[in-house]
Amino acid sequence: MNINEIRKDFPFLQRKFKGQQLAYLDNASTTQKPRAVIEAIGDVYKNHYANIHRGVYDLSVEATQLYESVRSQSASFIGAKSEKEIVFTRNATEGINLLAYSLEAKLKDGDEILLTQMEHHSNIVPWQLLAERLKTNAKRQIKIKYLPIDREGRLDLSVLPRLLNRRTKIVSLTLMSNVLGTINPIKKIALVVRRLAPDVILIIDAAQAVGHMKIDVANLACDFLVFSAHKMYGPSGVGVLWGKRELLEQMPPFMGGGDMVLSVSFEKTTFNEVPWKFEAGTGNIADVIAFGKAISFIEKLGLENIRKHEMELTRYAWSLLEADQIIKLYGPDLKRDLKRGRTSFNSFKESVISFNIDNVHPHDVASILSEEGVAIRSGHHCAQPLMSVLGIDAACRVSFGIYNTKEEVDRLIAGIEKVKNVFKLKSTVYRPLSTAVVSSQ
Amino acid sequence: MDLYREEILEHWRSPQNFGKLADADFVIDQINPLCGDQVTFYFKIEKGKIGNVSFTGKGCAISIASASILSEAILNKPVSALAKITGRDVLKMIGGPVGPARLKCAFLSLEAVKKITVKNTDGRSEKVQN
Repeated sequence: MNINEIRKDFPFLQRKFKGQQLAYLDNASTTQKPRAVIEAIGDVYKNHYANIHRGVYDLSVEATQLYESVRSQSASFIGAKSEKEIVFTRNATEGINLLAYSLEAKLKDGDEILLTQMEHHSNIVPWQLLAERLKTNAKRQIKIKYLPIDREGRLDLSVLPRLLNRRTKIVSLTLMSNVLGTINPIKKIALVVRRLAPDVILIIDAAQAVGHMKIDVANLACDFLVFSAHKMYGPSGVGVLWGKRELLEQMPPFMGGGDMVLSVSFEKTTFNEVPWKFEAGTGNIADVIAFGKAISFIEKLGLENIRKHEMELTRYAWSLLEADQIIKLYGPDLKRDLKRGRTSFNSFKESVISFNIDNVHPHDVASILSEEGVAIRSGHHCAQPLMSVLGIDAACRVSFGIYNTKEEVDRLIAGIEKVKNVFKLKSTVYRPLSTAVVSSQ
Repeated sequence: MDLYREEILEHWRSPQNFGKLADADFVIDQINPLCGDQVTFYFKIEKGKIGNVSFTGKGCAISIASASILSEAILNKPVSALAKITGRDVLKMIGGPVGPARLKCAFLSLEAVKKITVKNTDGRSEKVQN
């Protein structure tokens, strides 16, 4: 895989920031777009645009076919049995909100929902809102529990059995932490969950994992899975909710309106079949069609190759950051991981490194790096509960994508040296600086 | 734009008026929801003036330095003057622009200070808790 060739596919790299290409290291937040995706959006509006599922004229039929073909593409991308199990949403957040609404009837007074300490706000807030709604409108009290993390930032599975019981109706957790980079052993968790909470619905938030590792819903043994297109080189405003067909069929719709109905009278509505029952109103037609190009882009490169490249960068950056005594790293220790014989493909961690530099605030680090043309994320990463577990208010985060290079990691490290100079921090680096200037590829 | 000019770093290293005020008339918490930065301002009002002021909090260099500089600027000023302080004034106080991404950091303390008004300091029986 030739990264320089791949970089040519990304027009954003032609822009100059502070006189140089931007070292974009905020891919966990959102990824940049390849030319094929950008051009597809224009192509739809120029050549294939009409409303879908409605017109009998050719243009509408064509738009419908293009849109629906991406549904099939999405299904095979995640190993779904049928395209009828794919619901298009705006993003992963909307997918979880849809579930929190449409699964409401499943929860009786005294029932429980299990989340984890490492969830993004998007997998906490919708459940808190649901608990509040049930309490106010239906006088049903439900309990939200959290599976803790251990010192290394992995889920503490020894506690899991104690948190499950017959009242646990929903377990919702991330496949990969957006802060720690931890990859959770979903299959293992699913086995315990199914045994101890037989009525459970298992939901996987794959927003962070998608585009970095192969996702197979059958292998994950889950009931629902959500992700966003914009984190896998696709357009913003497109998300996927995958669900087992029989479950989707039982659920009431999330939003009402056009396209999700079979017939409407003044008194009553019969709903369309799945998945269209969950897609009210005119959807994000052009972006969904362009999302298909993002899937093709990833499949052409191969997720194994993508992961290998990203893990190389992650290990490289980790080893340089780890050598600096005033940098505190969070999440699974990659060195220990390697000692345990875990290589790229069964590592507990992927493409995300969070850290803090001494007592310098992450915003200050990110501001100084920005002046050097290096984009990293700083803040609480929409995971404030996790931050409190880690005992911090904020952290710096670098996260890699397919177009990143070792040279960009070197620019990150050089920027961090600048931060240390500005704040007059004593350098306690044990690495000789020359190792930070290894050429890319 | 030199964001990390020596004056800002100096206030970050040794913030002025840092700490709690035991006999404060007003205690105001202010949070930046974007990044979780937080300041608490303590005010002692004497004859319609800021008789004493201090702050505690956690945040970036820009927000801590702004709090420190602003606390110095408002000491002994009439309460009626606080409402007139603008964001532009704060930027002038801290020595120049900080760029759009960091305005919230620079203005966090101003938001706290602006909660002290002539109106709520008149009836001083109750303490304001944000």
